[in-house]
Amino acid sequence: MVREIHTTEYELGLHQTLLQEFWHNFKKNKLSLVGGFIVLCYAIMAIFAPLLAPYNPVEQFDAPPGMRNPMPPLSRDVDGRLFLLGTDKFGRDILSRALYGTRTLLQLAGGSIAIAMLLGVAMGAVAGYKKGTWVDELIMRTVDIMLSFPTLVLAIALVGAFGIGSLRIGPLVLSNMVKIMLVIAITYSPRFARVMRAVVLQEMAEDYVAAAKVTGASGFRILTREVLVNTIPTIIVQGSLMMATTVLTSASLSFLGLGLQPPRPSLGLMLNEARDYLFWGACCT
Amino acid sequence: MAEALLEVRGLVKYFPAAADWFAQLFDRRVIRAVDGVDFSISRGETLGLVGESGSGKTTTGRVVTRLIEPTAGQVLFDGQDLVRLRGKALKAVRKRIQMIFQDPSSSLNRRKTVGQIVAEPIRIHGLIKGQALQARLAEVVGLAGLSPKFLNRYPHELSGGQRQRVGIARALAVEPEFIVCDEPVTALDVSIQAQILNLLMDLQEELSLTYLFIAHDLSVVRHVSHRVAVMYLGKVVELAEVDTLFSRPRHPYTQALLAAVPRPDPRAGKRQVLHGEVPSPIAPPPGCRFHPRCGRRIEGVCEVEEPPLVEADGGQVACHLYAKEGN
Repeated sequence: MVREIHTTEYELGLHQTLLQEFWHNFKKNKLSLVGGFIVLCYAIMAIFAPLLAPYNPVEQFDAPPGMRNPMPPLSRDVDGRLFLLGTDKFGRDILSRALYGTRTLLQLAGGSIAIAMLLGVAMGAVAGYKKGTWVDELIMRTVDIMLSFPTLVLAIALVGAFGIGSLRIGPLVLSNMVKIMLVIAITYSPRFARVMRAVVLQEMAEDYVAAAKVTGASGFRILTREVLVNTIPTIIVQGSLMMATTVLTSASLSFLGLGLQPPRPSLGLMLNEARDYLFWGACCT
Repeated sequence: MAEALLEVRGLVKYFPAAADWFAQLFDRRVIRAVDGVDFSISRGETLGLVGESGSGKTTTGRVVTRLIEPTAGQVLFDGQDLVRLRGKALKAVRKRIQMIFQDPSSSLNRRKTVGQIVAEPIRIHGLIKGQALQARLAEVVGLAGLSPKFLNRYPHELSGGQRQRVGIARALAVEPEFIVCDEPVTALDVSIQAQILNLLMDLQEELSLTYLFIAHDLSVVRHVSHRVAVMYLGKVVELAEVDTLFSRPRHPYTQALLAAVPRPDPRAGKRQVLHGEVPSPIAPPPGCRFHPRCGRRIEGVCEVEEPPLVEADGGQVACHLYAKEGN
């Protein structure tokens, strides 16, 4: 009798994958729904930039007689083309540039977060596993040193060290974009390392790790096959929080002229160029 | 007595009292978790290891499975010193020694299915692959009394007893000879405890397993063990056949432990009650470690000299009362 009750209870399907669990919790929270919608809009803007943008973001248009570039919003050029947000001082469509800028910015942020996660998770996992040994000390002290610099200062220093533009390491040539991703990833990886180490320490105290050790699993196997799955939720949360700050950092880098180089559309660069016209044409900014 | 499968000689494990290496520079004190433990277990036997929290029984179990490196001493498994083994030789022995843990919710990875959990030891040792693996998994969970449909379930979908059965199945997966059971029923409901204990005993018979059974529940130990070792503050104070120990306990500590077991008899009379706390294992009392709480201590002897574990009719006991008798 007791057994039967048990089985039916299980037949109810208490199976829940990580994704289902996430969606269930996400739905319940109104604020996260609104936030999710905004993020989705940005994502669509970024992904479909080539379709949404009315003009080529680097093409220069001529202002009609009596007007000069930059043109204010809703103005038309010599050939009667409409510019919803106007043009910049080189006569390029601001709307198109903003769309493409968002695209590159998100690529940049996503890429650097991914690399930062990879680096940080690896460092944190090893440090946590080797807790209390010199390996742990070495990794965590390095992390501390990196964290003691303000993020932007560290990023600027790294760009300074690598040089502006593409980077050549032996036969390997990294495009400017990849190089900036790497710079931002390096500056953010210590934060992931910290969090990862804490979670790994917590998980290492669980008996399933002891069980794997008793069976003869190697340290690498324990970390990758047992512990890692249990750290994913925490790392994802950390990653999505960091995403916002990496967007700011990469925009700041291009604002300072250390990031993406013109004529590539980038929000930071656009801000900088528009700065000169703040007084009489705030709309550019 | 049959051939000894496992023999522990002079096992010592000290933990640093200070938290990290920096604090250890200034604080060299150690916690004497296990301080000179000897015992042996014959093939097919169950040795019960009892003691209060902090008596070192869990540490002993973890040293035997090489989860913890001992400070000194030998752990001879089938003639090989486990402590010295490294690399491949160690992995080979690990296939023969398994462990069942106290808390099955912690010992099972919550993101893995029962099938993945039980398959892991087999995969690590590369024993069975492909189709045969599924059959073997069904067989192993069957041994532990679970139906194969549980293989696709996650631990949180199981009851405590079922989870512990998964823990047992995982231990059995590599066909070990020796299993350390670290309080395997402590976390379970009393009604489930008996089921799990009987399962363990049936498995022992069927697969001729040898157990080191760690527990603090005396009735549980009495039920499953052939011989029992009583630990106090990192030392074995008495070791005897289960019937001898429970009918004629000799060490005053064992006597007090047994007297503390509640008896459903209103006429049983006043219980012998131990006073005071277990002393700190950082600074254990000199001489016999039990002397500050012992009702039968011999002044001038017990607080000075540490009693050795000596043979005394059918068992071993570490107490000056019996050392005198032997002479």
